[in-house]
Amino acid sequence: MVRLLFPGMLALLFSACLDDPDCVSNSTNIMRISLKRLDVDSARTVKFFWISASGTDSVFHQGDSVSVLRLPVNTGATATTYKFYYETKIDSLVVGYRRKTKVVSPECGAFPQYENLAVLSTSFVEVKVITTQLAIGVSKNLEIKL
Amino acid sequence: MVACAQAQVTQSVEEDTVRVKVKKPDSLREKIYPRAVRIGTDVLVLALNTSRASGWEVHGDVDLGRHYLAVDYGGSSRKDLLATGGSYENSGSFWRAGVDINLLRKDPDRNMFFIGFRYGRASFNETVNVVSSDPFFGSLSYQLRNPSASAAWGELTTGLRVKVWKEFWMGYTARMKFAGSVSGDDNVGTYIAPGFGIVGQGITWGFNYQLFWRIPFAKPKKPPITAVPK
Repeated sequence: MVRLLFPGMLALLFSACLDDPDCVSNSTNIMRISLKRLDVDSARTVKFFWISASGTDSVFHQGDSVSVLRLPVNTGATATTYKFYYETKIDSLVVGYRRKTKVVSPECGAFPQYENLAVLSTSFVEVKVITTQLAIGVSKNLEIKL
Repeated sequence: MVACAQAQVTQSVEEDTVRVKVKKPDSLREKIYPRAVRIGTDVLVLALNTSRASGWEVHGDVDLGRHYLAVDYGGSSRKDLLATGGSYENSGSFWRAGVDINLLRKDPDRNMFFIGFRYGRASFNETVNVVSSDPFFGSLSYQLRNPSASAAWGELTTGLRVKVWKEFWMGYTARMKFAGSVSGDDNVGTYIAPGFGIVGQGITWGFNYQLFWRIPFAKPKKPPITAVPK
């Protein structure tokens, strides 16, 4: 029995060498926000002058007419404040999140992950959290009614 | 008439048959009591120590007959440089406990070819020094840490223990580790749990090449033979 089992055990052991991880990560710091109408549950297209974010001088969606926003969260902080300049209004939104990192392997490196997304404060009438993790493939993190 | 004769023959054969209850030899019906303790270490882990990763393991088992109570204890630490910049550090300790079943039941030297099961637990800390760059927020470096993470898992084991000289033994243990779970990994997604290996791959594998010293216990005294008065 030992003669039969020994080669099988060795084959099983060396099959572990095939378990090298792939350098694939779906992590991102981009948050996706869909805009909805206040009165009915349908998408609303809004023309933005610009949107600013804390931690950067860059502005986003400058002059865009969109119903879905793609905004980056501050990679160096656990909260980001946004100011939305649109139509005749200025609204603000503060989101908080947990920064985590995952090492895939020393050869692949570490990839940051942003999860536990929450609305800390806002001047919008209604903001709903849909998906708390930022990841490639997530269609919607927040829903803003305006 | 023929049927009657056959019945008589069968009856006589049954009467002649003597049913003897064969008592199994002692080697197959070993009593459960501690015969010896065996203490050893994994020389493979010690040989593979580098400046980047180091570890050690000690192993012990108690010979209860066909079954062996097995306990392992070990520690490890490592520091890896990451391709994305920064580094990963991990250090901690682990233990495993379980039972081995010797499949060689008639070996006079008590050599072993065994299968077994272990339950393992590890407590460790992890630190990742992250270096990242973002087109909007620039480059930054920061440190994330799991100060007190823990892991638990199960193992199926198989291996050999061979008596080499007097009480000196050698052997190996192959391990299939499964059902790994981690807690306390709030800031760093655990990469490696000491004693288990890379977390998140489902099943991981382990191999120990071990040297042991066996310390036999005193044999149980037989009851004194008393003379039967005539």
